[in-house]
Amino acid sequence: MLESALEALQILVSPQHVVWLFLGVGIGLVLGLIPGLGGLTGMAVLLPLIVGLEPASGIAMLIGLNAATTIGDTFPSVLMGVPGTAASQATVLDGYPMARKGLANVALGAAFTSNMVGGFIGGIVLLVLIPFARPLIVGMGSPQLFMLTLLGFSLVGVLARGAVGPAFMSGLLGMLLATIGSASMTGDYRFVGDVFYLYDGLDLSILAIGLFAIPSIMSLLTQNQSVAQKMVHQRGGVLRGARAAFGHKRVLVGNSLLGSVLGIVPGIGGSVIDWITYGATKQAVRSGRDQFGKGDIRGVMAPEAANNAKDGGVLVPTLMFGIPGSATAAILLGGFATMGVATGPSMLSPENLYLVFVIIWTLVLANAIGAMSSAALAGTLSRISLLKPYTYGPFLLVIMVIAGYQAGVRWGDVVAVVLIGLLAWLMQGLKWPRPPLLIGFVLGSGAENYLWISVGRYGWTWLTEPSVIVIGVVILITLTAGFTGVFGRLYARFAPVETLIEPTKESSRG
Amino acid sequence: MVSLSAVRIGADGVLLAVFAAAATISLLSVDSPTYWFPAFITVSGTLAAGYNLVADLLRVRAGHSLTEGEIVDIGASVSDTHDDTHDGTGSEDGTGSLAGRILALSLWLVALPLLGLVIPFFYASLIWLVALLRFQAKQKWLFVVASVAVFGVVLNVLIVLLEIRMPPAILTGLG
Amino acid sequence: MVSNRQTTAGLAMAAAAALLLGGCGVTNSGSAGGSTDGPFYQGKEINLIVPFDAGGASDVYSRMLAGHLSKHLEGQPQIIVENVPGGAQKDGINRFERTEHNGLNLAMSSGGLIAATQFDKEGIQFDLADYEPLMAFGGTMVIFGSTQAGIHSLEDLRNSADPIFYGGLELNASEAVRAFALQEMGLKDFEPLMGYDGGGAVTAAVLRGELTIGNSTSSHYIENVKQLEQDGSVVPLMTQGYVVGGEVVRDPAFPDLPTMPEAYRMLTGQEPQGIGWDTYTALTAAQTNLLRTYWVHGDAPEEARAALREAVGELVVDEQFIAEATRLLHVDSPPQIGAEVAASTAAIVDLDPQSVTWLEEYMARTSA
Repeated sequence: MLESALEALQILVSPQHVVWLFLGVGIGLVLGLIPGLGGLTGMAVLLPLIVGLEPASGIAMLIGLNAATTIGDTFPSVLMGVPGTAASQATVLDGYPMARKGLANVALGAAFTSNMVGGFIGGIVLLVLIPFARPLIVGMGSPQLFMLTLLGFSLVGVLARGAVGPAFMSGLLGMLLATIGSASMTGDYRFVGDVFYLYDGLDLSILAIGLFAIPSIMSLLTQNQSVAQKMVHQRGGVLRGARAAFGHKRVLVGNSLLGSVLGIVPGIGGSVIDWITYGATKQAVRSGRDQFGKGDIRGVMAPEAANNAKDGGVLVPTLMFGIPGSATAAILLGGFATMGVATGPSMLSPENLYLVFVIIWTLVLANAIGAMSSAALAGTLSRISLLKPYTYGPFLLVIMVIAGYQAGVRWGDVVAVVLIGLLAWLMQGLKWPRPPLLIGFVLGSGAENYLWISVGRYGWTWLTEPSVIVIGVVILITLTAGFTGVFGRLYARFAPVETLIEPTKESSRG
Repeated sequence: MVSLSAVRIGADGVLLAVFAAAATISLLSVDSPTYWFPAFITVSGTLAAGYNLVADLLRVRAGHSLTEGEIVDIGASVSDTHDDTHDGTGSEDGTGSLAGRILALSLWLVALPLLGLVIPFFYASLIWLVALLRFQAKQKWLFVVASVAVFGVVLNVLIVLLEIRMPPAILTGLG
Repeated sequence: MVSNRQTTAGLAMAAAAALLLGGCGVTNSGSAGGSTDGPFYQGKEINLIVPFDAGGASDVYSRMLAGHLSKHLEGQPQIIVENVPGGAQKDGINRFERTEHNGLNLAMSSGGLIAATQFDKEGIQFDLADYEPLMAFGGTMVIFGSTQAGIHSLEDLRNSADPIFYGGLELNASEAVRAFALQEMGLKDFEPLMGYDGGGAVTAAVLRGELTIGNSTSSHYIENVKQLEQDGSVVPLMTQGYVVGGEVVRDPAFPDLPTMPEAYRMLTGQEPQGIGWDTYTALTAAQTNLLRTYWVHGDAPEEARAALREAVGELVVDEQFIAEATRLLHVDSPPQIGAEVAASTAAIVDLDPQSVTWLEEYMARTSA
């Protein structure tokens, strides 16, 4: 075991392989930096390159790319309030307020530290969980997966921070949007009218760009004020952030573990994992919960640690059973096949074990290289927050529209991005919460399909399965925690601030 | 900001109508199991939207603004201001009111795809950038030309290296 | 001084930009120019539309094929793969229809699209009868059972005391004929469950016994599922088979596995007959014989089509190509060209209207 581990490390750091690792990490960082483009684009471009490559080189490149995108995407999330990829939406929640306070470099420092630690822990989790992969996969049937999507949805209540009614309506709207297009269970088309574009359903990346990225840039341009007025720490801000991150060890390690475990669950994916870990962290911290959303460093660390840790978890079912845990994992699996690497239980056989270690070492090294080079750039790039939005905003709008077009290469994509962008801007102006919409959209189709299969397979008996009941209890706890937290805050500052919390109930009561 | 409250009430109504229409479609086709889940979603959505409409109306009657509460939101918003800014809405180029600028920028955003319909998107985006930077943002020509040129080069490199596809100008058939 | 230098820099940048823009691929149109004498494809560029996402199996295969096809075409034109995903391949082929019918545009499709021209016509703006199929590469479907659910052999399916759950991704025409075939085998309480999120999800469901039987494309099976045979988690039961001369025959990659009609014979002792099995055969021709079909416009210049036919003829016997294709798919999929592929496409394009009605009704019954 140890021998294979060392052998794998030796292979990986040999010049001919490490070049590919750097190439993958470099491309990944750039793709993450550009809002709207992500790992999928890069994988698709690099895939033809790996034909004829040695497995270790190909693995280093593809996995390095994947890990680095979730590092690079932090820059726009913090500096402009624009999620770099769908997996760093929750980072904006606290990262952008920090940038507004002139703490961009601190936020970036903390984020990259979390990325790195998350990546390490994800790699270790992959190693540790491989023997348990089978019970995990076999234990998670459609009923359990359905309940897990509901659990994710119940976080809407936690994230709602007061506006529970609008939040749930927003989430339901997301679920409704998810039902547009062909229903896979029966092949029927739903809610498509005569618009051929809708037959395929809406694309997640288009929704994410329109929902969050475009309104943010439009707002910046309307304001035409730099994000921050001055840097609080001209020098050493990045290091300060890194040190602060290590001060919150529990947040760091906890979210890394949570992220990697969530990565194993199919159908959840990075775009929701960041919200789940954010919500969970907000619930779990003992002090200063009010600061979340206003520039709490823990709010940056939680999604960023989970983000990179999930890559390890996603690979558990991918490597052990050839069951890809995400869209990028599916392409990765294709890449493995191209290189002649057979996934499955045989990966654990002595002659293949080194490949598992190559993957783990790649995760570790790619995260280290990516985080360190990003940290080196962070000092300079954080000055973007001092620039007038017109110096970068219009260019980003062009990039986002082009990125939206990549989703389906149809003109409808361009129209959809602009339309959703304007509607989302209006939503923001009207104080309708947007995150629940995205969460509802992502979990909607999973929820429907798993429910359909559960009922078709087990009737209603699945409701009595112990694991289903356990998850159900957790959902109830989450919901009550969300609501009581809300009420607690309400009572705490009922007098000074009038909030949107349950207005009718309150007014009818008293 | 009473007017925003009115817009929100209007939007509540629109959403209620959307959910109600979708619920009607789903309930009419409910004999096909495909529509069971949408029916559940849309009926819940109709209830939630109705609740919101009533709640918002009650709040407005009680004299509260609907858009001053705190919600979880991400990214920049038009109401962000720095605490020590001289005045909340003014910016240095001072082109019009906040509402005017919002409208102008929305139209600019719509103009980008419209331009892309007649000119291949790469060139359309460069022209759009020059126009926006010069006429909306009132930047110096030097900055406009230099930044758009650099952007053009970078975008071109990305297009070639990452095999990024560009929307064709379907009206003129170019590109 | 400073501003002067900036101006110079700006001008230099602008010049560089102008230079780069001249040569690079900022638009989608390939260069259609070329000399008029010499081979048709001399100095030209072919655009191959692949209606799937970049990076998927069909894309990777098509890119590999494009390289080899170029070598065999006289004039060795460059072949550029253009991915037009979405709309269940209809977007891509609609785009193919709108491109110039000049022999410089080719398209790839899977059997699903060919079946859609009969069973899922919404959004289709082309007629396959107007196109000439150049070549097709097959790939069958493998039906495998779950040992967790007590299936160790074909007979266990019939003898199972529990209901049989069969899972797949989406209820479409080719899934429907497989469901029909299984149902005909007299399985007790047969229940098709659709809506799984990819082949991996089906495998996982079979592993845990949620599904009694699942299906997988043969190359996915060999790459990702076959390993699970060794530790006794899954057992291969049958394949959908290929259609040769109107008969369903075994997949050469799985010579020991019976086809579904064979399995029907083994389990029920009856001959597969009637409109259901006829439709099964027609759709199997579309699904498995035509897993990856490459098309050219039927009204493209005869010169171009002749050159393509010749190149394709050379390509399918090119050892190097076959070796690489086998390595990619892990299956030695028999290529079809000429009259053979035309017969396969005709089987579905000219499908008996009665079969269409029968299958539509069957699907409606199954999904209700």
